[in-house]
Amino acid sequence: MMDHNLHGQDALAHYAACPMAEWPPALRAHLAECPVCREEMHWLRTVEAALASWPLAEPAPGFLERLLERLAREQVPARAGQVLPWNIWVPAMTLGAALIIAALALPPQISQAWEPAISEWPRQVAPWAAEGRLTLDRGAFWAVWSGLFVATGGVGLTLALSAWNARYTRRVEEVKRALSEAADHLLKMAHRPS
Amino acid sequence: MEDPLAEWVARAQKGDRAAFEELVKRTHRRVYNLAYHFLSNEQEAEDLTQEVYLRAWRALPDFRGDAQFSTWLYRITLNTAMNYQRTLRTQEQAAGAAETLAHFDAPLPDPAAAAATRDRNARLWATVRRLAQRYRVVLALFYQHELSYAEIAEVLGLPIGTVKAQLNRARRALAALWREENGDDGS
Repeated sequence: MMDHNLHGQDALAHYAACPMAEWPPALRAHLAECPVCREEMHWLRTVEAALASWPLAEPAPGFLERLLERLAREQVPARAGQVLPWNIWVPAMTLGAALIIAALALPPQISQAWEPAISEWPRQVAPWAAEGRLTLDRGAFWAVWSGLFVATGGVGLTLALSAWNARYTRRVEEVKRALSEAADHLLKMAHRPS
Repeated sequence: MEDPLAEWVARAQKGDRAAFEELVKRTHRRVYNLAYHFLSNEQEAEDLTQEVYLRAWRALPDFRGDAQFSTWLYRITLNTAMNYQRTLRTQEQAAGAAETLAHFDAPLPDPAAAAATRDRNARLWATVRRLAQRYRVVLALFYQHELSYAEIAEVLGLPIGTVKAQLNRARRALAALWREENGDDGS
């Protein structure tokens, strides 16, 4: 049996908004024997019926014209020459940085096949490494190099994916459609008798 | 769900004023309605609506299309209203309800039915105005703007469970006021 606590009355408000067919048997049974809840349900249903056709508050006549007139005076937000949004240029910069770091970190001996160890580093990486105080065998070097590249690239890719939205999906669909139409066009041209 | 306004939004984002005007024409009544629920004053609701569209126009390049355009507008309305209320003295004009409600209803074929509907709507508006603002807004978003629980949660920045609870409390509060004002024969 439902009691008259707050939870019970919230449940009444919930069911008042539902068709009676959806009322659970326990609620029906309770309403049949409880005049307090029956009364509450009556008022909730009355209000629910009124809310179902509740009209919008209408602005005064001429409001739309005034609004459009005011908006017409507003400048177009800067778009031409606008820098790309951060969620595009940050991933692009990150990927670019990953490539640059990878290129700079490439020691000169890397082109020599099967060099047993790397002891000469370009000065751009770190002066102390270039002075020969850092020696890595080839396996360790590739592990660090690949790890650095993959990690930085991964950050860029994560940012790019997190920035993905419905607009980009639509653009991809548009590009796919355009490519498909271009392919159809080319096929037709190829099959056209000369 | 596909946004029915997506095409207009995409054009407006490219700086097409005519497309933005079309968006304004299609959405301004609902934005005004929500603004009215926040401010309970016609002139302030008009000012707020204007401010909402100015902000929307400026921010349109940043609109990512994650939510429906209307949901995004309602969020701007909510934020703008909050700022507005901080700077303006909020006036509850309980006595002015009748004047405010004069132009709500479109004419109906049956004069008696029209009169009854008009009367009920006027009573409903007058009663709703006595509710706390958070209840007015959640009722408006659910019943007038026909948003889902999830959409309301997105607009208000609340968990869905809180929205449901607030809606039920708003219904109860409204029913209690309706009963108080309309006596034994309120329907």
